[in-house]
Amino acid sequence: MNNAPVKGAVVNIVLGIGCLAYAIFLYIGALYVSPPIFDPLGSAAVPKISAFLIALLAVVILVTGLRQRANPDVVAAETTDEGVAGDVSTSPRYDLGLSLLGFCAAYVAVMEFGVLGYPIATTVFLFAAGLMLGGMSRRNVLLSLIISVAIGFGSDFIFSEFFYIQLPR
Amino acid sequence: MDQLASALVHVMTPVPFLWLLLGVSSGIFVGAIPGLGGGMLITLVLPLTFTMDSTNALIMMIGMYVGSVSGGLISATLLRMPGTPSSVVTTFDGYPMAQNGEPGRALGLGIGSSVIGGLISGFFLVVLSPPLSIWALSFGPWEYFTMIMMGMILIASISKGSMAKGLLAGALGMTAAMPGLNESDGQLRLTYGFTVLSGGFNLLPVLLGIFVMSQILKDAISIKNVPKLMVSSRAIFPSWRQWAGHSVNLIRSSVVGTWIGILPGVGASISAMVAYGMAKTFSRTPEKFGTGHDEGIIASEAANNANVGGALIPLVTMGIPGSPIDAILLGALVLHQIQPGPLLFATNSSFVWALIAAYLVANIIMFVLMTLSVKHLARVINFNRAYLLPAIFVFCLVGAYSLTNRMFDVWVVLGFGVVGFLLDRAKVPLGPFVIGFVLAGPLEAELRSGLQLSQGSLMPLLTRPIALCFLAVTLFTLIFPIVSDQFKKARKRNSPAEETL
Repeated sequence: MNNAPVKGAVVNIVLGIGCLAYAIFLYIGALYVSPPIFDPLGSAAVPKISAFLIALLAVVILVTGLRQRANPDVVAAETTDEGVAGDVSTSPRYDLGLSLLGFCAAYVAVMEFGVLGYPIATTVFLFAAGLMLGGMSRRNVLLSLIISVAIGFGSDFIFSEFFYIQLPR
Repeated sequence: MDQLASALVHVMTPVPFLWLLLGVSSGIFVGAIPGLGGGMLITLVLPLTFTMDSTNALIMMIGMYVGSVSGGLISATLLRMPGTPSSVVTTFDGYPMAQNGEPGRALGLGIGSSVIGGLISGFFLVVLSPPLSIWALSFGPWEYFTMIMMGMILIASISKGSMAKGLLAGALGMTAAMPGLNESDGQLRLTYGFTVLSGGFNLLPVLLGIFVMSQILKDAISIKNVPKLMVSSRAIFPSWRQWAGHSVNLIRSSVVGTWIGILPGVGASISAMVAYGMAKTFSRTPEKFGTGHDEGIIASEAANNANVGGALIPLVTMGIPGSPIDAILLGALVLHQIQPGPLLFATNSSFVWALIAAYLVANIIMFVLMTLSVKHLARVINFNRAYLLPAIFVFCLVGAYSLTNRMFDVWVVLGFGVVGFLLDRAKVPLGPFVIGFVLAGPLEAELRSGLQLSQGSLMPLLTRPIALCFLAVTLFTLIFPIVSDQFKKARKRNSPAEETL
């Protein structure tokens, strides 16, 4: 059974609710902006208009999602046209994406808090991420090691000596 | 003409030419890898150009733009995996032709059509840009406000997927540009008590996050090996006589691509689709389309390359981006302290002509490079992503960090990368987001200037003809799809009843 319309409906519902919450958050933020002094519009008007627009569009998407959920068979073709059905031909590896994001965050954090400098942090990050994405075969370990050392220390030299970028130490 | 000639001479001198060569070759390389595109490449390279001469930097980026659009045809033809969205239509006939044992011929047709499409749109770029920029000089705040709004609405409503999601992406992008100090009156807004947000989000980290980081995450979740394919080194180009037989299709598709490129937001993929549809309509053998037909490849590739030149016209004449990559180029101009807009032609015409000349020469370089190296370029698509994706993030980090030497900008890359990834999974187009982010500032500034001039009255929207015209197009763009959709639904509902009768 093709569950793409249902999946598309859930995506639309989540998107609608998320954007509605964001619009409220934005509107509240705009309420704290001081009233205009020099011009008729002021700095709060455009954020408020944007919040209203986002809320309106979020409601449209939310209603579409609810309608799709209620009638998945009727709107199946429609959802495909709108491109909300999602790609069901491949099964995405969300674990890899999440792990890579975690690695990236850890890589930035160790430099932000001064645990490691750029060349070593980059080498470790590239090696670990290369193994995670490419697998633990002997060939991959060797290639990841070569590439990570070359980019880690090579890019540090190029960026600092040629482009005068002061990278974290 | 003299200015164009001297600009061409300048571009052909060693230093600019080498930057252009580097730009085109790296663009082809990246464009050939499915998932990686010109926008990603230009954004990554942008921080490295800060120490460069501005003209050379923009020349290189134009080369990347042309190269990436052309490079996309390689994986589209050999693997049915379009390297860039603009090459989607090339897969319809390129891939079947490659499967029928003629991969070299399919690539040859694509390369030849790309250069012709590019040069024809280059002609329009040369002819139309000066008068358009003079016309744009007569614009006031209301004309600019309505023109920017029209561009944003066009981009959002015609982009891939549902109209509501396109508009939502544009609105979200606008709000991302709002936190921090407002340039119009110096007021702080939407910082929520975080002093780090006082300066707002810088353009480059947002671009890196939305375009590059989200793509890294997207590629990471679908990492897989691609089958190895080879292209023989035999002559790949059809004869002159065969090209002459396709001349009408070539010219028509190039003009269509250029015209659609001029319209803000209607990207290269749509121009390729329209040109393909027209080629099929006017063909004597429409039944052959989709089976590896020459005309299909020619229409698609001529149109998507012509689109690049077309999209550059509003960028250089009015400072309005015709596509997401043009929005990045617009950002690059700002970061290089060059004020885009109609005055650019008047105050810095040699710079604008250098860009136009670079575009023309980039097409020739692309043709030569792709012809000479097509056999080797086919191997690019086998590049292992496990090494590529983490390395790209390292370049993102360096690019964002180098801007202000703050790790905050790197966190912004990560944050907007996650936002971009989630929006992409929800089928919300990212192009309108970036364009909303880039154009939010000018849109608000022009509206506030206009209201100050008219003492708070919105009447100039109706009394100024150009502004009214732009407003009418905006409203039409918004209303037409809704009305047409309702008509389609009504017709669908009625048709079963008619059948039963």
